[in-house]
Formats: sequence, structure tokens, C-alpha cells
Amino acid sequence: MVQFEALTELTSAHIGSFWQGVRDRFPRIQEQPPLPSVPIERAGSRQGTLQLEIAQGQRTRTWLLDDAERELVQIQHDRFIRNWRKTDELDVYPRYEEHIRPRFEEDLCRFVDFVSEFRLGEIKPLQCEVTYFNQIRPNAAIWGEPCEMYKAVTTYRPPVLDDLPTSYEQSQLRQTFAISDDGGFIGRLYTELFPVEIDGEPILRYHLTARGRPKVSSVEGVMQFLDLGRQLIVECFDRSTSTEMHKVWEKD
Amino acid sequence: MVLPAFSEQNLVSPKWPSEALVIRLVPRNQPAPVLSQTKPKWIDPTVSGLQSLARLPADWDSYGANPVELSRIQQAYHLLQSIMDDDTPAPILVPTPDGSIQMEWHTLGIELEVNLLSDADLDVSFEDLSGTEDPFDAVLSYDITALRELMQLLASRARDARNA
Repeated sequence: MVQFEALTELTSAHIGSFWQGVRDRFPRIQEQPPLPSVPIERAGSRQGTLQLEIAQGQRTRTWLLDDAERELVQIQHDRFIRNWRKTDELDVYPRYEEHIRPRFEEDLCRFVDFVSEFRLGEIKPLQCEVTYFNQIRPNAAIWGEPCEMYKAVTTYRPPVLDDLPTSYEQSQLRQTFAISDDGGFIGRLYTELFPVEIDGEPILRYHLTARGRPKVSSVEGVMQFLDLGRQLIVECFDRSTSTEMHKVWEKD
Repeated sequence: MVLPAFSEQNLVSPKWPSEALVIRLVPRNQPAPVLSQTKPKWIDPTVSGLQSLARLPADWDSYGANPVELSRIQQAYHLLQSIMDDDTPAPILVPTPDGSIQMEWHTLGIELEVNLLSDADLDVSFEDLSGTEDPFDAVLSYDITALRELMQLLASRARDARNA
């Protein structure tokens, strides 16, 4: 995701023109309500529990989808987002370097050129974000119930209260880490871990998001931050999951 | 009489956009470093003030001013949540002719103005009328630690005044 100064002149008609140029890869189009504003990550900032929601019918978010609905480009007046979604059980997650990164860069460059060509303003990236939504399935030898989730994700190990009339059930965990570059604050890494039940099976949802400012306000700067964010996410996932699960996933 | 094929009157709703606009507080749905679990006193008057600004029509000053940008409304709220303590007095919200917002505090011996220059940049001007603190004038972007400290000073003086 890249967030930029709002393009006040961008209309649905413009998005339609942009679509014509990528329609061979994204033949499907949908309109969605716009995403809420994301605060700029700043050193010294914090947030309360309530956010301001502004609903106005004038603006929309447009989805451009491939036939399988795996590849998704989302555009709204202040954001360009690209997603890959698993739509079939047999889908294999594509590699960042070979698939996710080049396609994001290609489509973002195309959108930046389009905005310039139609004189809609200039894309000035303010901050960018990379998110991985992981689902950790149970493994009979390691964990099968939410009360055993710490055997898969070792970040939180509950206190032992077995000698008291209580038994551990599950955890829901949120963490934030400041991201720095050359010693200065540039963003934050967020993690969220929580158990859910899908079709009667317990699943651990583990979401990791790196969000921050590009070092230079350009596509190149965006890609540099996304590379860093992705690296932090991969390392964080690796270091917070158990070696037993790594063996199941056949990680090196 | 020859009628035009269409007139602007038939295309533009006089109710647009103010009545289509809904501003409300909702629980946060994105990960963020949440530190405050309470609803501070400044929130309700501030949201009310932001709603009023959002409904200003174009040319609200009769000198051709732009309506306030909705992105500035969001930005003002995000920023205040980032820097305000529960005890900080609510700001005076002033629209600017270019469609932005200036937040002002003229209270407790403090003159503080924060102008939203862009989605990232803030023009901050501070003066302590008691002369205890140094004046501060700067454009801040991704590091607002200095502004947060000014807000803590404001909140501290508000607590002292209440306890006096």
C-alpha cells in the first residue's frame, strides 16, 4: 500500500480510463466504500481507542481484479493498494521478489504516469505499508487447541497457574515496534495474534504490518520501505514461531 | 423560448455535500499504539467543531475561500489524538482560506498555533506569555515529539489551575 496526498481531482471516470490500460490483466471491476484514513506514523505519537469516521457518498474505492480474483489492485483518492489473496486451497503463496514486488512496482508506476498524464496532480508518497495475513493451522503433534497456541507462536507464554483453580484458555496479543533507519524513526511494525475457529477447526491468525515513510518521496523510496517492511515481517514471523512449526513448514 | 438541453440547476443538488456528510466516532479498527483507554473531555467539542468546519461551503469568507478538505478534518483529529493528554483543553478550530485548518490554544498563559500545511507537514508556533519556556517556531513532519511536549505543558498547567 502507498498513501499519498489526496488527489482531489481524481474521479470514477479517471479510474475507468486507467482500467482500460490494465483491463487485459484485471478484467473485473468493483466499487467499494473508501477505506478510512490511516494516521501518519510519527515519532512521539500515540492513538486513542476511537477513530473519526467520515462517510461521504462522493468518493469511492475501486477494485480491479483478475479472473481468479487472486490479484487485486485498489485505488482511492489517497491510496494505491495491491493484494494477493488465496482463493483456492491449492494456491501457493507467490514469492515477494519474483511476483509481489515487481507487479506492485509495475502497477504503481503505471498509475503514477497516468495521474501525471491526466494532470490530476502529483503522487507524493507520505507513507507505505506491507501486510501479511498468516493463518497457522493446528498440527496434532504440536498444538490442537487455543490453550496450546504458545507451542506454535512462542511470543507469549502464559503464566503457570496449575496449582490454582484456573486453567489457561487462549491469548490475544498485539505488539508494536518502532522502525528506525540511520537511527531515526521512520515507522512502526504491528503484530496481532488471535485464535479463531473456521469450520470447527482452531486457526491462529497472525497479522503483521509494517507501516512508515519512504526515505525519498518517490516510487523508488516506496519500494525501499516495502523491502525493509517485508524483511522485518519475515524475521518477526520467523523469530516468534516455534522450531517445531518450522519443521512442519520445512523452513530452512 | 429555447430551453437549454440541461441546466446546472438540474445537475447539482443544493443539498450536496453537507447533508451527505456523516462524521462520527467509531472504535479503532486498525492496529495503532493505543495508550489511552478513556474518552478525553476535549473529544466531543472538537468533533463538533470539525463537523461545523466540514459543512462550510465554498467562499465561506466571501473572499473566495475553499471549503475545508475532508482529509484535513481526519488529519486534525488524528493529530490531536496523537498529542493531547486527557487534561489538555480543546483547541479553537479555525478554517484557512486554502481549505486547511489551524488549531489554536490561547489559554493558561500559552499561545500555541498549529497549521496543517499538508498531509504530513505542520507549522507550529508557540509562545509562553509567562516567559518560563522558550518560544518555538518550526515545521514538523514525521517527528512531533516537540509538539507533544508542548501539549504536556498545556495539560500540566490545566491540572495546576484546576487544583489551585
